[in-house]
Amino acid sequence: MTTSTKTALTARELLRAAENALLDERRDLDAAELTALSTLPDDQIPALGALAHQVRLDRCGPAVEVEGILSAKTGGCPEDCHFCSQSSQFDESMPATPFLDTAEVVAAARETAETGATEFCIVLAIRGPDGRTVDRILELVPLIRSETGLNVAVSAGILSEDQSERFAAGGVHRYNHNLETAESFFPNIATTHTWAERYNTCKMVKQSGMELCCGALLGMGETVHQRIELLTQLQSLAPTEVPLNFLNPRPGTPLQIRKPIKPLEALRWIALFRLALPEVILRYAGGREITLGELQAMGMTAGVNALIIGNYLTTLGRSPEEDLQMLEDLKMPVGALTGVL
Amino acid sequence: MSSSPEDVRVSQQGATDHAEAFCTGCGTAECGGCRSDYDAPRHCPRCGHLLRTKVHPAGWAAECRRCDLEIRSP
Repeated sequence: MTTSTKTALTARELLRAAENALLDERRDLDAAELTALSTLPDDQIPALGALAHQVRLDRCGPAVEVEGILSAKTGGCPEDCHFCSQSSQFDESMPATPFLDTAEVVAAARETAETGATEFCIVLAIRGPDGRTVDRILELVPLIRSETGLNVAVSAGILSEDQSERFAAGGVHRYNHNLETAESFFPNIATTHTWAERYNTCKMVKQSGMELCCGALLGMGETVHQRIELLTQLQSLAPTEVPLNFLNPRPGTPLQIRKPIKPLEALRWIALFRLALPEVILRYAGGREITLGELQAMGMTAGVNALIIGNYLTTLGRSPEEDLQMLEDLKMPVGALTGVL
Repeated sequence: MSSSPEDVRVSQQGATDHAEAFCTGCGTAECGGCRSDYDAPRHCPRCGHLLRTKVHPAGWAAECRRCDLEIRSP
């Protein structure tokens, strides 16, 4: 028996074991099982993706949730997240823009609704909201909901318990607060706040009754072990949604010298995220265009069941028409996943 | 004097209707145009200064506070 045959047999055994665990025993994979799957050779990534797709269909169904996002307050952020062009801590920081007018925010929500999306997220580049910002957001949420019919999500940084309760009571359907990376790697990425502060906000969001959207950013220099660590930390939070970002190195940031991760590597981790989090809304987010290029449809058959449509916060996405055509070609219906899973 | 959006149009891909003095990606006069298809303009095509850019789901708008130029996606 050749070495490659041995490897292939081992890969098949690993994939069968994961399939049994997820589809027959209906239990979550642990860190050891995920680590073993992460070592599969590149030529097994399509098989890994096929299993992830099967798990997604079994647990979540065929629908794809489409969302638009808007940076309603851009730049000038006091935090030093090393991947982010909106930090004011770096030499060539992006000039700040104030909170957009109500009309601008509603117009952006309408643009999103026109694509058939069901979700719209208002994002602010801040450490956390002050009282006036909370008030502004709570004025916008019901207005957008009534004008467009979209579910409204918010991303406004670290929350106090009172703020979290107010958002929940005010109709914020989902709150985004990303872990971004594993606890052990986080000090390499930000020093102005801790991973624990992020984790605590995430727990508070759930306690307040909002859906938790808690994302990851891959390609910042973290190890495979740290990606697995992040997956187990996300398992412990059990978010409703995980937006999966790939680093798009931004000029002027400390991570500007990093290279985007390779397409096959991205597909491997899309599949692993699905296998680790079988019931989550796994959303394609920032960096997918530059990371996956022509292979974006493969992510949709490797575990992804949601996407951000149109532009991102400070960078541009591909056209909504291209994404909607991709979903039509794949016979994946667009629909809200809230309350379904 | 403020320029209207029609004065300088920068396409989503980065080409302009009129000659750019400065690269909208890196802000230098020497660059041949390094801005990618997935970046909004970052620097003023007229003076190279950092732009204040607003990105929304279907486009973007940017203004240069030094030379009072406004540009937006088609």
